Amino acid sequence: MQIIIIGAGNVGRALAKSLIAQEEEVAVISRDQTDLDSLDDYDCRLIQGIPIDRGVLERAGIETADLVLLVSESDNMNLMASQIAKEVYHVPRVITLLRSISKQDLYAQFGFECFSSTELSVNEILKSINDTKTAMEQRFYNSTFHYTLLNVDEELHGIKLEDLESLSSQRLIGIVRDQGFLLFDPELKLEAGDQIVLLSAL
Amino acid sequence: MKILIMGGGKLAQFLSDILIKKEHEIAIIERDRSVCKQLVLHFGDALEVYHGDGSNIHLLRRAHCEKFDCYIAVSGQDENNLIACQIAKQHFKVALTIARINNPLNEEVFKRLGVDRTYSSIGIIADMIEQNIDYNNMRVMYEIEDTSKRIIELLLSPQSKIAGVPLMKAKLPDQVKVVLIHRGKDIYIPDGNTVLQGGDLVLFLCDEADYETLYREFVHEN
Repeated sequence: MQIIIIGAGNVGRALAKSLIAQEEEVAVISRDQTDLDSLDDYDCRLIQGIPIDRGVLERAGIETADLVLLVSESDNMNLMASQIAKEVYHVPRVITLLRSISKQDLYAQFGFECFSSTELSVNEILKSINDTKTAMEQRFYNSTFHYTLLNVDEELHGIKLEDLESLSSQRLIGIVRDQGFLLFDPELKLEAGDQIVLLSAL
Repeated sequence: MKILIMGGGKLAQFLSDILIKKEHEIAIIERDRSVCKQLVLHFGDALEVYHGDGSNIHLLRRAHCEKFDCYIAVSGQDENNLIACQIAKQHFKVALTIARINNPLNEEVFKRLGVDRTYSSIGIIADMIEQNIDYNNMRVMYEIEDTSKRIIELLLSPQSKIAGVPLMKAKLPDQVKVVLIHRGKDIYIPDGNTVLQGGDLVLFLCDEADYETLYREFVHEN
């Protein structure tokens, strides 16, 4: 794939290195020459300039790019450049990383493929803090689904899923066992060490 | 009209001074705390000043962005102006969005991405300079969007063929019309009997392609 990464901060550089290791064709745009310099030894094109400047984008090969990743430190820069990529250059896939949760919320509603680094970080940290429970959220437009993982101990070993007490507003969608996921099956018996995956809408 | 202005520092202040005189209701969002303080000192109760980022959704909510008729983004960064206008229009349903463009090349992108009106002070100045260099005493007042039709103003030379002659007898190029005459303090809407005089400021409707002809025949002193 021909990929353009906009932003050469921590995220941009790490992405570049990973994608290069995957043998993708990578070009990196950044306003900061020092940031770009640290990618000198890597097999990618480095373009210094403003990412909303069409000349800069075209030098990076946007006209034939398959994927553009917007990961600079400015949400507004990322949002503007992503729209130029999509609306002007018709890049097939554009992924935008934002800091602001509310901007991510809003632009996701507008149909952008975007993440909020704040939200991702907070979720990961919450996951680490919680012992017996591990929580994850997935936002779909105005609804948020809440996944909870419950650890199964000896007490519940051998119990069939269909016999578990109904969990009111939550739905049991499956089990995590041995690093794999088993979809709900009423006949399935729990084993100690499993994690039950519960879904609820907030 | 209720107008929300973002950024611009002094520009926002001068703009607000004018708009308040015309009895519009104004609020300003400004990122720099010391500029905010100056604005509050200058305007007192006459308008609201909000400290923060004009594209921040929480701040826009606090400022009741949805009740404004117009959002004007005049910061020094194009990307901030664009996103602020997009959020104001698409989320807060503000009817009219106006953005300053610092890089004139971004004009097409802004229009495409939904900003209603844009202006580029650099673009305007560049045009003015270009016109002054090419055509002294003649300037483009208005470009009719998406066409090559223009309203231009020129200083009529006394030696021009159409000075001293009733308009109905004057030989004007095809599709060129005299719209208005500004003579001293007076304004005339011309008819066939109007006689143009040297020294008149004359407004013409013409085509971009006519500039050279108009300049040569009506402005240029031999």
